Amino acid sequence: MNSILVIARKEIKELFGNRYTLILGAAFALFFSIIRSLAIIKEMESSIVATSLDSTLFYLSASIGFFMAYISASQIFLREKVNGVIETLLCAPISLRQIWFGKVLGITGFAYMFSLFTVVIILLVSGILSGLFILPGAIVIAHVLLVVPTFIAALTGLIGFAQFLLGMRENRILNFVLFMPAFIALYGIGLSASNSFKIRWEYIAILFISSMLLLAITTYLTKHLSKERIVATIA
Amino acid sequence: MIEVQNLTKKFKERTVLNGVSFKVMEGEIFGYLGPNGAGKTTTMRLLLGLLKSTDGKALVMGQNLGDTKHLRKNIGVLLEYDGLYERISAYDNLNYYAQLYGVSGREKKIARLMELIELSDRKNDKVGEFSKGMKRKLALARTIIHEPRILFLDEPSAGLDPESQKMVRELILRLSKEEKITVVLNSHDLDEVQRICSRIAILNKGEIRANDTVDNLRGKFNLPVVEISLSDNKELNEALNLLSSLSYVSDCQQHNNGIVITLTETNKASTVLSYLVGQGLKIEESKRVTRSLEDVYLEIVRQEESNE
Repeated sequence: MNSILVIARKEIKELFGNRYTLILGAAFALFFSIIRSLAIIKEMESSIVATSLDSTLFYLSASIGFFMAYISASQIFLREKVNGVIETLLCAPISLRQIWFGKVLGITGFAYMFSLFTVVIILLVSGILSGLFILPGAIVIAHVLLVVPTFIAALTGLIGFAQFLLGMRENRILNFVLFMPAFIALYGIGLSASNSFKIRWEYIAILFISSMLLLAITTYLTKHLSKERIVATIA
Repeated sequence: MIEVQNLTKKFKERTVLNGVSFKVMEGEIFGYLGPNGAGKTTTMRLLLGLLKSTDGKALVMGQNLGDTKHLRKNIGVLLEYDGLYERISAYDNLNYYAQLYGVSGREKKIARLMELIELSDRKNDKVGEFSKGMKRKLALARTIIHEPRILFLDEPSAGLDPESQKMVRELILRLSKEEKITVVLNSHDLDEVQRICSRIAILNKGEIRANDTVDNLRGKFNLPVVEISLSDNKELNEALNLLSSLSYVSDCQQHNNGIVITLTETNKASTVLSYLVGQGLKIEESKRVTRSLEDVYLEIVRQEESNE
């Protein structure tokens, strides 16, 4: 466990040392938070405002987290393969699964901070502009505190696994074919349903269980990830 | 300490290593030489457990490093890449690896190593701001921070200035002598290998071509060589013709205004000179040539090429 935390801490430090990622993440979170906050305060009735706020927090916290995880995974998993650092790390007295999990934990921590930042900005901007500070419902709080980090970890784990497993060319294809469309779809669905969509406990339960399941499956699959496969696909 | 037995590695249909065998004893500095693509890095990766062999064994302290996590604490690795993180500081890099290897008293050890590599004043700078040589020195510090028993070094002094190269050489020698650390050194720098390695193996096209001490290798391949200078081109051509017909001349090559003559026996040096003088040639200068490891290495590699 100690080695996993050492890796996670280092990844967070390294990600915070990357000005480009920080600026991109902050700009992205601010832009979408402000745009959505402006849309929320157009609603006249406070009950609709609350529904709209909840659904916005529901999808935007997850979308921003996913986007940052996606950006960060390339900085961590893929970059280490490109510059060959992974080879040195694989010689350390830690297992491949520990390396993978430490990185997933670090990226999740970093990306989750942007999810929380998004939530805070939406609450602040919508509150200040409307003069009506509405706290999110219990479902949204549970979603942000429990489901979002699990969701980010599950997707980070999957992206990291794929980036370890595949060569550079396959990774590029996968990015364009799977992950970018997945992010756009997630954001698009959330946006189109944000006004009419009422969040229910069942939804976040399904999302939580699906995320846990995906994380468990990817964790299991890392057992079959070999050092040879990683070394052989180094750029 | 290290035992490689009949090691073979194939990538699909391509054979990269073919029945390689050697042993490295405790405290030995073992030089592993060969041209690009000979299979040196593949051998190292097999020893480190990063690749699985197609056939044969690559054992470190009697075990396969890929299978035994705890054993890897005894290994220090400096590969072609420095294995450093450019967005964090030099100190954080060393501290990270020290934590992964469970090093105690990290602060003191890091300070001592930073002093050794003369980067104490840059310890808080991001590694991305370092020159190639500085990164290589930091990578070397990273390699030894956990006081390993075996070092795997791939071109450790690549990109370093002569002063730093000397520092690296002295450090490796000191670690080997004082702390009995075993070193496997992949290198193209034959001068470096000659200076520090107790034994070397020469690999070419996936097979070991020679494996011995530097002195023995030079001895084995050390046919006596004499270099002569002649007064003009006419005499030079005449001498080349005469020499090529002599049974005790193994090889003769024109070199600037002279000829480099390789003899089959040591005591034939004076015979060949007397013969040439007797034929009316004016030899202006003659000297016996001592062959370096480079000559031996090139001879082995070229012999291989000419056999094909």
